[in-house]
Amino acid sequence: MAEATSPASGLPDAVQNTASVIASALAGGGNHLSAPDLAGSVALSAHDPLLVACVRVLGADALAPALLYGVAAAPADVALAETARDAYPPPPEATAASAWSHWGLAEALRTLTGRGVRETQPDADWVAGEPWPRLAHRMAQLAPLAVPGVESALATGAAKRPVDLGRGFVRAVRRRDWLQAAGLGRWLALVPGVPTTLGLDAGLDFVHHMGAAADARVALHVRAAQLMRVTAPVRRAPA
Amino acid sequence: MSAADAPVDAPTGSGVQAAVLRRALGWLSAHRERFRPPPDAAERAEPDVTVKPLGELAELMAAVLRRTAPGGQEHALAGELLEAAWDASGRGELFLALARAEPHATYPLEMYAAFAGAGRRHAGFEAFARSAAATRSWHCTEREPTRALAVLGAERRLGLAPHTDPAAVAAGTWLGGLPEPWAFESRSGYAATHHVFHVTRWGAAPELLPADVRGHLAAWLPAWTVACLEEESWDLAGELLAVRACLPEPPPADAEWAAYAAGQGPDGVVAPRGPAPEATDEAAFRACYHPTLVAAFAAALTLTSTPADPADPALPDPAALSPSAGGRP
Repeated sequence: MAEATSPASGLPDAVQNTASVIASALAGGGNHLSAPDLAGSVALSAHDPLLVACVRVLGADALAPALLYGVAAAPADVALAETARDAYPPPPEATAASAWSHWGLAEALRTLTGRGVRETQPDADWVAGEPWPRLAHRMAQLAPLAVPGVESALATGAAKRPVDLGRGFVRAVRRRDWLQAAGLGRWLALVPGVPTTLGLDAGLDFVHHMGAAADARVALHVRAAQLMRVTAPVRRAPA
Repeated sequence: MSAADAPVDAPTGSGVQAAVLRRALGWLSAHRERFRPPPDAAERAEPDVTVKPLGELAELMAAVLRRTAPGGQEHALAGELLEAAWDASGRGELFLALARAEPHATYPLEMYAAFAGAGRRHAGFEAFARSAAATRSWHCTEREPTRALAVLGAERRLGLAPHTDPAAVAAGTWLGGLPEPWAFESRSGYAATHHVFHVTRWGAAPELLPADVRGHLAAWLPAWTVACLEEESWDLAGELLAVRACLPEPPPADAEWAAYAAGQGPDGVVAPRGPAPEATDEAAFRACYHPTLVAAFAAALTLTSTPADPADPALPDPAALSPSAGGRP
């Protein structure tokens, strides 16, 4: 029984529950969470280590409804996200995925609250140099950073490789890797210069039909991307 | 193995294609007698089993012959295989027999046209084909668009009037409709490769591909190719590499070629999927003759195509891609 309640063993389920709640909030068209805050929505205590770990896993996406609708986050969610940010500082040898996820959560908090200083961004030089299959794999892991209003070196780099990200989306669908496809769909919704022939809107719909039932993170990414397609400011392609 | 992490000690540059071509031709030569149709091929009405391999051998060896330098060993081997195929057809008699067995079928003409395009002609069959192609029935035979492109190509090679408008047919194929690239699957993939082979006359006329199709391929062909290589779908991957070489400015594909070459067996055989077979029996031939022909074809086209500037990372033609930045709903 102890195993069933320890953060490590319950974490995948908690992530799924939380992602599902966030995806529903994003799809709800302004009706945000089903309860006043995230903890209430997933029926966990805001101090539960499981929920704190879960928010660290989801990174900036824990605050996605507020970020994407441009509204204030619930104070309890801000406190929860701050706890998660401070509980899991990335070690110096952290992977790029871990370091960027932490940075994204911290930057999302700063964007929403106006508090704190902007942390130094992790390395993003690889975004320019990775062959597109590797680029796609890595960028999909960092999909929570694909949010309008959170400016990052990742987003700047991604904006220079729209066709490569599109190729990654095509390859991910072929591999039935719906989580990667959905994550790339978010970047494609954010960056300019995506060829219209990709058929992104139909592609996002397709990925949702194929992959959302089995993985709530797919639903979250697709709903976020679809929301960005409607609301994000149109950017000009770089010269 | 993904194309992105192909072994660094593999041959690079055109050495890869030269090795694939040489080995594939070696396997095809060793197995040339297996392409010979059975004596009762015309009576059996099983063209896919009895005569299709011979037609494919002729089409692809004719292409290899065009794309290799006279005097070289590969050119000589391709010429020998083409001539052996012509001999195995009774120097064209086979096609007349097939046409008499199925007088309203188009496949005898499609197969014969490969030989005719390479200067091997049979007056009796051509007289029959002229007569058949003049009927209303020929014109209104129901065909899938990609197959109609094959028939149009055959008509052109024999100097027959096209049975319908080629541009309209091309626009009606899967590729011609500029489909969502993530909808790619094997069936549509083969339709796309054959669209390109027929429109470009098996790589001889890249400029005949319309600009919108070229732009579509420049953007999405790499994704299809890498995906097929990763799943070891060598037959379709080989066709996609050949398509790349049919583009006016093929994008670089060194990593893709290294991954593809790794799938070829030591004797030159290429399996349709997965590891190369060790068996050399009839079943192995049936399974592997097509991907091995494709390997020779793709390699020969690639060796003599003019690559795009590899220093240019923005491979797709920006003018052909029409960015969607202003096109949000």
